[in-house]
Amino acid sequence: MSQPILSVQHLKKYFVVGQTGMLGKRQPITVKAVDGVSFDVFSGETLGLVGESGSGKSTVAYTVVGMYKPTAGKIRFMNTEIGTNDKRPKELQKAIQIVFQDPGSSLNPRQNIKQILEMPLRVHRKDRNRLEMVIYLLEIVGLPPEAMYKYPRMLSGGEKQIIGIARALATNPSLVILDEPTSALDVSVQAKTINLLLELQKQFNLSYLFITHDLSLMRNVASRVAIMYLGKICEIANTADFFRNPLHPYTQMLLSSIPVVSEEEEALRPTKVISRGEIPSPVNIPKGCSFHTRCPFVMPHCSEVDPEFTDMGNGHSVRCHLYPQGG
Amino acid sequence: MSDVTTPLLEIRDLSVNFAVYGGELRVLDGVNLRMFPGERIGLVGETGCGKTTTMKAVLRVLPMPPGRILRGEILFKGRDILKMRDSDLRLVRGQGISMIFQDPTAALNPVFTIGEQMQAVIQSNAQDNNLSLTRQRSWELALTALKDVALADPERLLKSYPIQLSGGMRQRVCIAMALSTNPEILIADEPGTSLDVTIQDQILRLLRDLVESRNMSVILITHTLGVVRELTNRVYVMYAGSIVETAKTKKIFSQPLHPYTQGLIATVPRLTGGGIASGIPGRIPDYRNPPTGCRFHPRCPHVMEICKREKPPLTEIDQDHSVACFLYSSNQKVEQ
Ligand SMILES: Nc1ncnc2c1ncn2[C@@H]1O[C@H](COP(=O)(O)OP(=O)(O)OP(=O)(O)O)[C@@H](O)[C@H]1O
Ligand SMILES: Nc1ncnc2c1ncn2[C@@H]1O[C@H](COP(=O)(O)OP(=O)(O)O)[C@@H](O)[C@H]1O
Ligand code: SF4
Ligand code: SF4
Ligand SMILES: [Mg+2]
Ligand SMILES: [Mg+2]
Repeated sequence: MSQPILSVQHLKKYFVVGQTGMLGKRQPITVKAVDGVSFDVFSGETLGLVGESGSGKSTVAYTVVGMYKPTAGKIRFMNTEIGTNDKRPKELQKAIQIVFQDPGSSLNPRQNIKQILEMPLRVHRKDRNRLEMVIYLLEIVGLPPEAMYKYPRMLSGGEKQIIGIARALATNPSLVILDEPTSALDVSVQAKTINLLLELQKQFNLSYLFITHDLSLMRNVASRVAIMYLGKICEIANTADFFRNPLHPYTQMLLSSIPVVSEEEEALRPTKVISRGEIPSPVNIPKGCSFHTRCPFVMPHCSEVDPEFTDMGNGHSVRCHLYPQGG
Repeated sequence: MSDVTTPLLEIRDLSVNFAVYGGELRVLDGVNLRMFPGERIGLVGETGCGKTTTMKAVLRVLPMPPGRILRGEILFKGRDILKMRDSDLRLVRGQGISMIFQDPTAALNPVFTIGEQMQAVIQSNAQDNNLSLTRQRSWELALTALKDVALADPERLLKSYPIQLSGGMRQRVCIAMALSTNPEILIADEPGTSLDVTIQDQILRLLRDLVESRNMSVILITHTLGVVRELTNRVYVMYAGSIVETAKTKKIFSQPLHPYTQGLIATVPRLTGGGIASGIPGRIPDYRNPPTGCRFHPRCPHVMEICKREKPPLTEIDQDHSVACFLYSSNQKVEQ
């Protein structure tokens, strides 16, 4: 395979959210939002990061773009270690961009589209004619030049998200992190936005880290898929392998829970893992395998020992005691 | 008197405007819907197409003003809800029709315990029936209702405040409250779609079991078409304030006829892959100035001259399958 453009290793990000205990014996309450996550993103590919709310997807995203400093672990971008930089050099900020989950709140309501798109240009692209660039950016995302005089409140949810995409592309990045870019949109608007993203990826050879909770969507956009649960990855595989042969019990539970619209899709869903239980609080992650409270295949040692990754070949890895290493 | 031939609920030509600064939003433009006992109906359509507005009108909870009902009838067992006296209306809302709202957080009052809120619902419904319940009795009924929705430790839950519950638990409490009066019709607005998929799946299975065991009739509002396919037996497709197609659920998915329904189904990402269809161009119209004729015409790939002038009526073109589109109205039936 080609060189990874992004390589994340044993990444941890903890947040202190409060204190417990009596005076003098105070213990910090820690949320282990990301707890030892490793993955690569290869040049030109789309890695899908899938998980339910609170699994740590956005925290991974914010740490990779440099909004958070990692608690531990390494982030390498084009062979340079970047995780430990206190302030990232401008070159790096340009190269890694993010599109946020909520298209509304990520745009400044007091700025018009022209001002919103000029902002990154002002910082990163002193060389070019800014007005020309704004028109060009609107053109590549399929909006007319007049759109630059509108304010965010005049745009639909889908159009706001498209402006978020145009803003991310303004610095000519090589890696774009998409944090649930369409989860606030209707299916028909989602379809348009996704197709635009796929076109732009080809046109500018972008690499995507695509975050979503929607596995059906992932099936159609990702080259590889990683599943997160409570701050850890439990399975990672090529998209085709992943859907043909999902291995982790949580993955199987996710897949069997998806409402589908055709019989062909129904046939693809595993039927043996019925969803049950609540997602535990990330303040109080179950010991051993964190999925053991909901797993139908739980074994006695699952609640004691956290499993390691087992390489099942062809880039398919799974972290579960049902698949012992070397077994 | 309800038998299979009399509709339990019938909405006829319902039209609703909202007054806004500098004009009027012409939102509902003649909604027609019929529900027979035991039917499970899915009401689908893009954001803003008028699903919630329709159901709020049915429960007579539309804010008026700014809302205004221009014309139409909403018949519950043959009686027009829009013309009912308050006392009759309360009975309809109690045992006739219950609604589960989209956002379980907003539906529960944060300053009262779950028990206090459930008891209040149970007590007031008893009063509407000229019954009086002891506090002990209403507590027991609340407890049973929580057990019915498979909530563990219901005694403790009754003493909890909404904030102490997870989203999935709150949604179960809302279902328990809506069912505590044993309604004949349950209206569920996006139940569980704000929840994670493994939690949503549990809620939907619960809902299906309850509805089947009590033989309730259901209207399920959602834009997740997969949920509609798994939970309902009839679908109504709404676009910009009108029903544009209705058929048995199986038929809608295997043989959608209206160009809007076809576009909606085509854009759903499939677990089998194959990419995502490019979607329906454009968006829901501005209700201050909606398109003439067929409101879908500016977005329709098959638009004809007549579509811009006249509104296509909802017409039965096959057994149990009606569509509002000029492609099917004349004798030359156009193949898709
Ligand atoms: N700045 C912060 N301070 C404290 N806790 C945080 C912070 N950011 C995230 N968390 C916590 O870390 C956990 C993971 O959060 P994150 O937002 O990354 O999850 P997510 O999978 O993206 O969730 P969602 O899909 O709901 O957006 C959550 O429990 C969250 O409350
Ligand atoms: N109280 C109100 N005042 C003004 N407009 C409203 C009001 N309630 C709903 N609308 C408008 O009616 C249209 C349909 O809304 P709604 O019934 O909520 O659609 P849906 O539930 O399908 O999303 C929208 O354009 C909405 O803005
Ligand atoms: S390690 Fe044990 S509890 Fe965890 S997923 Fe595997 S079988 Fe289930
Ligand atoms: S009536 Fe005309 S515009 Fe409307 S959906 Fe049918 S073909 Fe399209
Ligand atoms: Mg998130
Ligand atoms: Mg609604």
